[in-house]
Amino acid sequence: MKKHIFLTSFVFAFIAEITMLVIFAVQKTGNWQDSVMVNEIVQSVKENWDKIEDYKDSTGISYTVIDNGGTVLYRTGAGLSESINEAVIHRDTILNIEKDGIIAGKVIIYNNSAQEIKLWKHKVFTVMLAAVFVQFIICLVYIIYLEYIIIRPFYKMKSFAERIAGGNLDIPLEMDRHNLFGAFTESFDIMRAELKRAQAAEAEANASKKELVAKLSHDIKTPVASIKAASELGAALAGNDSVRESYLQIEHKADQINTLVNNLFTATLEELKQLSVAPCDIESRELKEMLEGSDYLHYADIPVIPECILYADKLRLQQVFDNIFSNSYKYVNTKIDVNVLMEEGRLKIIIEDYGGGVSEEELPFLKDKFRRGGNVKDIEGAGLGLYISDYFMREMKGGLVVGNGENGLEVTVVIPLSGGI
Amino acid sequence: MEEILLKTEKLSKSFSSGGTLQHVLKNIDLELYKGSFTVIMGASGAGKSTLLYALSGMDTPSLGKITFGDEVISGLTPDKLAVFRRRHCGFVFQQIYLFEGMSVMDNVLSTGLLVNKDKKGIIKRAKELFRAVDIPEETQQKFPSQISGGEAQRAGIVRALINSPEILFADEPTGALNSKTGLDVLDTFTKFNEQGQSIVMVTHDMRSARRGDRILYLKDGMVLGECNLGKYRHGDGERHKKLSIFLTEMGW
Repeated sequence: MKKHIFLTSFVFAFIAEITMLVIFAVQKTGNWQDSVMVNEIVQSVKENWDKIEDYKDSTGISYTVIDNGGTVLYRTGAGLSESINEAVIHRDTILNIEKDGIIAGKVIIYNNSAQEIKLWKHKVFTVMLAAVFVQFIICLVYIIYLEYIIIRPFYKMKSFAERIAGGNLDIPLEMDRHNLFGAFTESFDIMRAELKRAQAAEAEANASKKELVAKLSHDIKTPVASIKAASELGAALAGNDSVRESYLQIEHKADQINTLVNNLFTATLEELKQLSVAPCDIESRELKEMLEGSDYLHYADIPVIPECILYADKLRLQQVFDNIFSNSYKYVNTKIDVNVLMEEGRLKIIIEDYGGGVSEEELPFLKDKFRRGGNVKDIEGAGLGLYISDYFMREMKGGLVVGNGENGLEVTVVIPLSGGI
Repeated sequence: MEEILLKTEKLSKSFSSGGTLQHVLKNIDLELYKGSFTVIMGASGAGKSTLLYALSGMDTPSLGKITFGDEVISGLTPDKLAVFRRRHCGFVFQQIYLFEGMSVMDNVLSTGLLVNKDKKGIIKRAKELFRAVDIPEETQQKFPSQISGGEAQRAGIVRALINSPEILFADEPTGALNSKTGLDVLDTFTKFNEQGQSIVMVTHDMRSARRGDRILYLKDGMVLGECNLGKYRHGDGERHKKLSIFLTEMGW
């Protein structure tokens, strides 16, 4: 609809412009002489020839009256031709005044066509300028409209897609049905929600598998312990060396099974180590955009970031910030303070909410695997966010420090400067 | 306590190449002292010349701050930077760039008159400097094409010092000279440094580096290490040994 408004108004302005041009092209410019008025002038001059010095013109036309000797007898105003020569140059109309059949003098009617043309040109210029200005305004409004309807939503979607690629499915895509991407936006967000659900289901399935492995390992360990105990007893009571050797062999194999079961359990928890972290040099000014992207509810004022080159994996760092902000949104939902500190070759981003923090007993375990704080209630979560964030930051040779600040939980993201370590 | 002449804080310089950013200088924190002879060394592509150009205001840093005395120069407009360079810095390059159509003396005077309108004073200073670098009066009146490379480089030094700059920047000043003329140029640098002239020189050459009292070694756009040699003394064998050990440690 809006596109049609633009096209209609643009075509309308264009047609108006063409119409104006046609009107001006066919319009008479007033470059003609009123012969009746001219005759009237000649007639009245003739009648008043003897008292020409007292003569008063009533036609409003500019002219000069001269006698045969070239003397100006009368003129309606200044700046008019005062001789035949001047009149010829200026293309004025020259008429004879006949008195008693003899030419007594001449009336020079002023030719004002140059002024008329000048006026006409000025009019055309003003109208064309106005039309071009209107077209410019229409284009400008349309460009601004395109910026809002296409470019901004496109960049929003780009950042959204990067988050999805980075595995962050928590942050929804703002929907706006008024822009061209409205329908896509909704579909993308549905996709995100579906992916999140699928991921949660997968995590649940994995957790069940882990539970199964844990249960099986426990179940296997019990009979293996019995076999070990029985073989120990058998070895102690064996009548000859060969039998004792066999019992010891059984005991040794039981130990091996125990170790393998332990390894199997540990291996399931070590899967996290598969997440790759590839730090490189990035400019600190990129942090501001990342923090603003993570704080999508705009609870924080992002401060000025000191200029420097950092050594970090942008994707993983964004995930760390996303995790910290989404945790704060989920568990306390208060305003957030963000402060920046540069010290000892590191840049520290200190993020603190106003939720009162966590108990001192819980603090040391917050970054542990599958560990969640006492304030989780029935809020969805796996207890892996801070564990993974901490892992990412350590891989970047930085760190993640969790503590209680003055107002709430304070998470400090420590990012190394390039060459600072 | 040494007086700080030039200071950088997290000085970084990046260039865009094929859509990716190349960080040529990274987070350089540096203090250059008045009267010191600082030598910047490092492998090709380590960022030596880029650092020299950023320090001297010939180029602007991408990030970070450069302070000259009390003035922050990193945010100056190109016009103000040009005025800063003219007033405070002298430059000596590997290529000498003397104006071919002017005599050696006029080359020097034209630079002097850009800053100072006192022609008599400029001529007096030029003559003193020419005397200090052993360029006789008849050579001063010759055109650049009529003099040797060593003489031209020494004339270049005179031109760089004509406005009494607080700091002299040199980029491979002996790179295009033979052994003997290169030595003369280095002696000139040493002489001016002994008189209190602050010098920052980029070089690949160990013989040139030995003249400095402080050696900075750049690697991958960062200062990997530095070595303090103290003021130059002729025939100081220990100095050469100390520099060799330092450069070996740095992976030279």
